[in-house]
Amino acid sequence: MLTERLETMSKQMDVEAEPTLRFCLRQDVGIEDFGARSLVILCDSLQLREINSQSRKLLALADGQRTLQDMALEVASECGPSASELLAHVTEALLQMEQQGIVRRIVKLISERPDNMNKTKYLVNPDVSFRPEDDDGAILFNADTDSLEVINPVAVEIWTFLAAPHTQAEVTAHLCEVCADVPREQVDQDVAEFIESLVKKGFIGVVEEPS
Amino acid sequence: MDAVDTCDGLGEEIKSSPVLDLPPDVPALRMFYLYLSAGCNLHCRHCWITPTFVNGKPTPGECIDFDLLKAAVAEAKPMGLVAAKLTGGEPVLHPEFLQIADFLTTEGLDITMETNATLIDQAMATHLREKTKLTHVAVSLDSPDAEQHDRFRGKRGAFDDAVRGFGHLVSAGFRPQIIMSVDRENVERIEALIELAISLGAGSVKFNPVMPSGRGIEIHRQGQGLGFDEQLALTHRIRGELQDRYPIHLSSMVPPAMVTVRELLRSGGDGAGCNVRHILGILGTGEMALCGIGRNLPELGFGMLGKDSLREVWTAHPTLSRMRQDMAGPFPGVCGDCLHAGRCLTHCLAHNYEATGKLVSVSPLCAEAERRGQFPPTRRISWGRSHPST
Repeated sequence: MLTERLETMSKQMDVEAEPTLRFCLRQDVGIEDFGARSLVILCDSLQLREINSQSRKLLALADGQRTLQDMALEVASECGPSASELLAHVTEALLQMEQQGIVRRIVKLISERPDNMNKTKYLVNPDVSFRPEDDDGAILFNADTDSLEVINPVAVEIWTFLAAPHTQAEVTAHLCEVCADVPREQVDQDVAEFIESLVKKGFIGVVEEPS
Repeated sequence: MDAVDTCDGLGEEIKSSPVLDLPPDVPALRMFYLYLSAGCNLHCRHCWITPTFVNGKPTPGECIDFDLLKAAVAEAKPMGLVAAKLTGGEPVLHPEFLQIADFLTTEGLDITMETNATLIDQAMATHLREKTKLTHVAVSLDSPDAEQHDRFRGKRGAFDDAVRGFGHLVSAGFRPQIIMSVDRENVERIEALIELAISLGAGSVKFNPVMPSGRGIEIHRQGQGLGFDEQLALTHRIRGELQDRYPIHLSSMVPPAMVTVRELLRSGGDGAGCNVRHILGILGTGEMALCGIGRNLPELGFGMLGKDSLREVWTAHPTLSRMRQDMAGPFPGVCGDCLHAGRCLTHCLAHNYEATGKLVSVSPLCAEAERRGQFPPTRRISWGRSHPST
């Protein structure tokens, strides 16, 4: 059952397996189990996500210590297919839950942007609490540094997208889909300014590439 | 400078300019609030300062002594002084008003002013514009109706005089802010006042609910002050519906926790409150004080210019030291769990003191919101942290 479910997802997304990645639950997440389904509550933004029992099992393994390879091994020991067969599916499931704001990857974030900006990936600082209010925008708050930023709905879209690491070009492409009526050059400039500003303030980090 | 949401008028640049000669735990003294005259030519029924009513020239001893002011500026500049607000009473009543504005300009200070505008003529307005560093003028106007404004101001003809003075300021090149004090009598006239402001050439309009302070105590005692619900409704109407409709910056002084994200975005800020940490008031009598509240509450006066050392007052007065300690946190009550607290600093300390006897205490609006269970949950630091992960 698990294999079948994850194979379906993998075919849709064509994901490359990333065996050394590690994930953990985001700080503001609560989970309520209802038989075969579970509800994930994103407490900061008051949003709900429904997940199936397979994803729930993966969440239980996502402790920040286990790699995706470790998780695939444990799942394989329960349901038959080899870990190597399962790895891409496990990767895909965790990446989806990352984009949905359920889990975050264990990664080092730095504040300095490298020379090659084209390949630079950005990720929201996991210490920042994201608090949307209606559809008007949101407050970003970092209790550790007592810093606060009020952001508009477009910035909310960027923030949500950067729950998973993306380059500036990917953010622009995503926003162009959402705001089809705005010229791409304008979107690109706005994205660049927003990211630069929030990196400077520590709300967004640069994903450090392994040396 | 057109739009100022807080009452200090300190710009970012001013707030961050370098400090010169102070102990490390003492903040820079950036701005003087100069209550140039303790007298006023109007007798406003809501005024929280309660100046002496004067029909002609103010009583000697109730205007800041110019020589003492010069000495105070000289003493304060090494501590970071870069700006001054001219207020009162009515600042223009000071017999050496223009000379003081010129002096402050020569000293390189940025100047803002609050006035009823009734005594401002064209020559004065032009002088202020062309010869001084006066960048922001706020003019009190409480109604678009002459009769109602005059009733608020306690003097027949005050409206016509204020509008005339406002016109001189605009002709000289200012885009003054209009400040409307709001109670139950004039709250229905805010929209008409905005239209008047636009037609007069104002740069912005700020709405201050009459507070139970000074003469405002009597207004609240008579049931004419705005209650909690009315203040919040007024704020959301001004910053929402009316701001949508009118091409002029509108603001109201309420703690940032009480306004929506949309309204915060519009004001372009994160809800910074009064910069009282960087301000020293000097009353008409020459007394140094927290701000104008020192006129009614002697315990918030710190000493006299010419008798006491300004430096000593700023660096060591127990009330200021205690205030700074309290502002460093942890904040009391709901402020201790509010994500705005580090910027809001419990909002207007003068109003807090009137309500609670403490400067750094929960502002009356936030306290009432908390009591009613209406404090916005997303503004609590603990929001989202009290749900255990399974």
